Amino acid sequence: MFDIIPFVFVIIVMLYFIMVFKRHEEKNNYDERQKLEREKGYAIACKTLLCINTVVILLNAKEITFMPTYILAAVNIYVGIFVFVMYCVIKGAYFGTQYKGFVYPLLCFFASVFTIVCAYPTFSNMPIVKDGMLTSSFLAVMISATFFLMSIVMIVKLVLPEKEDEE
Amino acid sequence: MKNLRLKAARAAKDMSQQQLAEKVNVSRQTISAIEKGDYNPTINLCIAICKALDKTLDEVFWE
Repeated sequence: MFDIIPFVFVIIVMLYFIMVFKRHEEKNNYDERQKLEREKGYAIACKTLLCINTVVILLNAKEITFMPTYILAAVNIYVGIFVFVMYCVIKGAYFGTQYKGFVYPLLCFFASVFTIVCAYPTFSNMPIVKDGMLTSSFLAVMISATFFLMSIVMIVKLVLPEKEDEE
Repeated sequence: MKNLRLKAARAAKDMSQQQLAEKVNVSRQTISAIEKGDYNPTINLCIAICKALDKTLDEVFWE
């Protein structure tokens, strides 16, 4: 019974994020191609989560367990966000047509730095892997790495002048 | 299939992809995708592009 609670929590969080994304879209003037790419991004992120869960279920069936349920739930959330953001940024569909600032990349970068700085003191007591199981320290490293990669890709995409496809 | 007529019409107007994109309120990547033939725009966007380039739909998009 209590094993279901983290999954219900994940579903609620995912629904919340979908609502936030939809509101974000309405505010940001995405053009028709960007809307299409974002929908593909949602689909790819969803399929990625299904693949991860399938692998974990198969491993569990073989009695190979390497992370507790709450870590799996968090991994699902962050992998989903990561896949969606990466796909949209690479396809030029993450920022609206009017967006020119650096707020999102900087927020991601600071989130990455603060996560690792706050978690660092606990690493000595709680190693990333303990008794063959991933611990909450792994979560901090994963969250930090996810935000760091997202910020770097966003900054590269915003800063580097894109060559027009002239021939 | 690449849309070379769009590229030619844009070049004739001495506009960059960014300038055309701003004029029709889409992203630069969208204009690039249309020119490369990676994206088929809706009729509304086709009309907006034609108006921005002072061309007809036939001249820019009809095969």
